[in-house]
Parts: sequence; C-alpha cells; structure tokens
Amino acid sequence: MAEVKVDDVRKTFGAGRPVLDGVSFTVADGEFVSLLGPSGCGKTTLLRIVAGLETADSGRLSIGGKDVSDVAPKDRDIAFVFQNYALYPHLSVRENVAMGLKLRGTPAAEIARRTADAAKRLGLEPLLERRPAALSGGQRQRVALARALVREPRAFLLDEPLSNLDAVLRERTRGELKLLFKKANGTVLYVTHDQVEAMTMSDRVVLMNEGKLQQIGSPEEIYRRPANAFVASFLGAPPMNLISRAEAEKSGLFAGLPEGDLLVGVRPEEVKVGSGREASIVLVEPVGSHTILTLDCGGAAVRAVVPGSWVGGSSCRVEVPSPSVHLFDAVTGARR
Amino acid sequence: MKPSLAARVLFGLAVLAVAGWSLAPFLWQVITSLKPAAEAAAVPVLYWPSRLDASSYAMIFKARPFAAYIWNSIVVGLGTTFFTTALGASAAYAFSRLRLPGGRAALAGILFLSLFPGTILIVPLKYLAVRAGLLNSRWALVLTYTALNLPFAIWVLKTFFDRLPRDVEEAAWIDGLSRWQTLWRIVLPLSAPAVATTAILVFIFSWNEFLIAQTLISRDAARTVPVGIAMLSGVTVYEVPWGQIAAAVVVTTLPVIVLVLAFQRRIVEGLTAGAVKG
Repeated sequence: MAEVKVDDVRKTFGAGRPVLDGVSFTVADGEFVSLLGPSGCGKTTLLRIVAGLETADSGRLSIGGKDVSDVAPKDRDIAFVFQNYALYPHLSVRENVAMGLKLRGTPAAEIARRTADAAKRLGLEPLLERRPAALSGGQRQRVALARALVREPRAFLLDEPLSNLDAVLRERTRGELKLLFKKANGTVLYVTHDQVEAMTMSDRVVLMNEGKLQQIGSPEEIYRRPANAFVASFLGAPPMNLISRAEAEKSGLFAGLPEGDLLVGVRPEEVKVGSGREASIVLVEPVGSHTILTLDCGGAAVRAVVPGSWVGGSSCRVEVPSPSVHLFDAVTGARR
Repeated sequence: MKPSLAARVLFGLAVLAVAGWSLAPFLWQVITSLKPAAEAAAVPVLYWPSRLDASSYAMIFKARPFAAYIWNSIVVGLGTTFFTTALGASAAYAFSRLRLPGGRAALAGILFLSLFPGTILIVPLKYLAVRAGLLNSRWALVLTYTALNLPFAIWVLKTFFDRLPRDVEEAAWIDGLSRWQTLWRIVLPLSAPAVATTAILVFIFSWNEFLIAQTLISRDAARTVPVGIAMLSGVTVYEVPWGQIAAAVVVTTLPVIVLVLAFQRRIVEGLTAGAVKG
C-alpha cells in the first residue's frame, strides 16, 4: 500500500471550461478517501487521471513517493473498479480475477492461492467457473472487487461501484466494502455522488464542485463546519437552510448578526421546535424515523426536522440556538 | 397474439415459394450432373434422368485437373480471408479507438475507393502482376482480393468495435495488456460474430471470383474453380459438356453451403448487430 498524491492537476476537454481546475490533495497510506460532488464536477475525470486512463493537461501525480504522471496504467500498480464492472464477458470468473496476476508473471501456485483467497473473502467460490453473463448484478460487482483485491495493488481506485445495485443491496455492500478495505489495509480513492456513501465509508472526504476542490476533511468536519455555502447546501438530507440576511432578520430567529452581506445557515435538525417565536407550518413530510417540517417564519422559509411523526397543529413555536448558526459571505460563499 | 391458421399456411407457402425460386437453378444442376451424358443436353428437355449416372463427377476429377482447381481456390480463399481479417481488424481498431489525424477523411477515402467498378482495374492489375512477376501465382489473387475486400472488412469491423464498451479495454490495460494484446485477447473474441461474418463473406467472394482470376492466371493447373469450370469444353468446339459443368458446380457449391450452415447463427448475429440494443 502507498500514499497517493495529486498535485495541482488541471484538465480541459476541447475549448470549454476546465473540468479540473487545479486540484491538490493527498491520500495517506491505508486511508479511505471519497471524492464527492454532483454529476459533472470532475471527480471521475480526476480518478481516471490517477489511473492513467486520461492524461492531465498539467500537474503531477505520485504513488508511493514515485512520480507516475507519465507512467502507463499497467505500471502504476493500481486496481480500478469500474461503475459497470467492465468484466471480460468471454472469460470465466476465475480467469477474470486471475488475468492481472497472470500478465505480471505471477507463479501459477501463487495465482491459485490468491484467487481462492479473494473468492473466499467475497463469497465467489461456487461461481468461479461461470461467465459474467450468468451472474446477477451483485455477483458481478463482487467479481470486479475480487479482481481488484487479488492484485494487492498499491492503491484501489473505485468509480461509483455501488451505483448499479438496488437500494437494499447497496446498503449492505457499503458496510462490507468498508470492512474489506480496512482488513486489506488498502489505500482507497472512492468516487461517489452519494453523500451517504461518502460519509459512512471514508476516513476523509474530498468535496468537489465545477472542477474545484471545495473542502477536505473528515465526514464529521465537513458536516459540522462546512467551508463554504456550497458544501453546506450539498451535505445533509434535507440540506442546510441558507437564507439571505434580510430574510433572516425578518424571521426573527437570528439575533446579533454581524455587519455585511451574508448568507445565514442552520441545519434543519438544529432548529428547535417547541419554544420561541410563532411560525406557521407550510408542509409536513413524514419520513418514518423523523418528520420534515417546512415553516414560514415571517416570510422566510425554514425547514426543521423533528423526531417521530408530527402530531401538532398548523403552527408551532421555533428557535435557533446561536451556536448552530453558520455564516457565509453572500458574494463569495466563503465561511465567515 | 398467435397468428391464425390461414396466416400460418400463407406464410409457409410464401417461404416455400421463395426457397423454390432460389433453389430451383441449383437443383437443376444437381439433376443434370447425375444424368447420363446423352440425356444432359437432350431435346426435348428430360426433367428426370432415365437412370442416375455419376460418371460426370468421375470425369471432372480424372480427365481434368479439377482437384488442383479446388486446392487453388481453397488456398487463395483462406489466404485472402486471413490477410483481410487480420489487416482489416487492426485498421478498424485503430480507426475506432485512436484519435488519428485525418482519420475520418481516410475512412471516407477507403469507402470512395471501393466504389470504383472492378472492370476498370483489370488492365492495370494485369500490368502490375506482370511487372511484379506474379502472373500465374496464387499470390496475385490473394493480394488483389485482400485489397478489394479490405474496405468492406474495415467498415464492418469498425462499426462493430465502436459499439463495444470501452471500459472493458481500460480494465485490460490496468490488468497489464498492451494495445495489441487488448485487440487480440479482448476485442476480437468479443467481436466473434462480426469477424465470422466478415471472414465468410470474404471467403465466398474469393471462392466465386471469376474476372480477375481469369485475367491473372492462364496456366491450367494454377486456375481456380470458377475459371476452371468456364474452361471445361467438349471433344469438339460445338459440344458443351453440360453434365460435367453441372457436376463441377455442385462440387464447388457444397463447401460454401457447409461453411454457411456451420456459421449461420454467427452470420445472422453479425449482420443484425446494432439493430437492437443487446
């Protein structure tokens, strides 16, 4: 396993705006890092550049302290799990898993041992002689993982590996993946647009938007202390309430706001319902474990999360404790 | 909805009519080949021989170098198929996957070249073959046929390659395959239907080609089957050995029928590839 270092990587396709606009970060040895962001933010392009499947316009890449910017994908000693698995359709599961080892001249006995080990870890033993076409989606995904694990590479690169699974299977596989890579002590760079995956699986999250890095930190950090208004609005379901200074003052929920053009933010689950100022309820959305209320506070729309189901009437009392308030610059979006 | 009885009967009749229409000339050749020599050209026409007689078959192999014709055709056919498929697949893969400067223009040019009628090539080809010392050589035919079939092979295979998912190839690069290895070990096995279709159609072209073979080969033992059949003649100029010609036609058609039946499924897959999302 090894450290992966991305240094000021830039990439533009054709004449358009840059897909990657100077991105730098480091994945420590054995660390699980997610690249999170909305579709088109450049995260998959960045992963493909790390793998060597695309070339950056500028910037350097190193794996294990060695500069690999100009090294062919096969010589970077990385494994890549594709979104649609990209198995070899004409080869058996065993041959799919063993291909990388065979091409590297690994002795047959060693290949057999490692293939058997990976198959055992992923529960593929009864399927080894089958072709991919005879497997379910979940099984194919496991073959793709086995193909990566068996190589024992210096880094694992995964491109939305769970996005083609149904919701129940995705939930279960998420936990299994986390354990699998912990046990393998793998350096993992994991691309996803699903914040739940990023938050639950990673040691650190790299949040991107429009080709620019927005924030790097532990899931806790980026959730508790978002670096800018984009991060604040991207994370959380429902996301953070962000309202203009004028609306915030009208609502009467926020006292003592500092000078300047501001965006005022508060997470819905930190809006206290039960005491404080009167607000009318516009919308009630029961989720089961909790209920999302959309409130009208003096003209400002504010969402609040209350536990369980909502049994109150058409209005309620709300307040916002001052430590829960996040302030962002209305022009730059930066945290104040 | 299950089609009605009438519809199924009509469909069956239509199939029979088309099959009969297509097969009748061939069946006529089969019957003629089995007639005694005197009955083959009898007037009025005898539709069914008085007795079955295989002597026409014996004649073409004994009295003439028909075995050599067949061998020449097989060698030229396999050689043409091999070179066309190998070169065509390599070129098609490059056109499909690499960002070649002028790639689109080259592809259009290839298509344009294949639009010239074959007859205008005859004289230049003869000249080239003479200059290259390839007259009466099988190589003259293999090279010419390969050149003539390459545009077709490149276009069919490129269209097929374009539809193959690229990430399987990317997975192969990460696993350690080179571009060439990826072509031979991943792309071609996945393109088996298209490769089989191309190979068989090229083989059939070569097997049936007459004009160029007639022009470039004049030594009897070096001839291919179509020319050999055309050169079959009777004892006198006025006698046409219909029985032997029919026997030769039957013998040379059989390998093609066997080939097509053996690969029928693959051919249909290849020809209809891309018609529906698979």
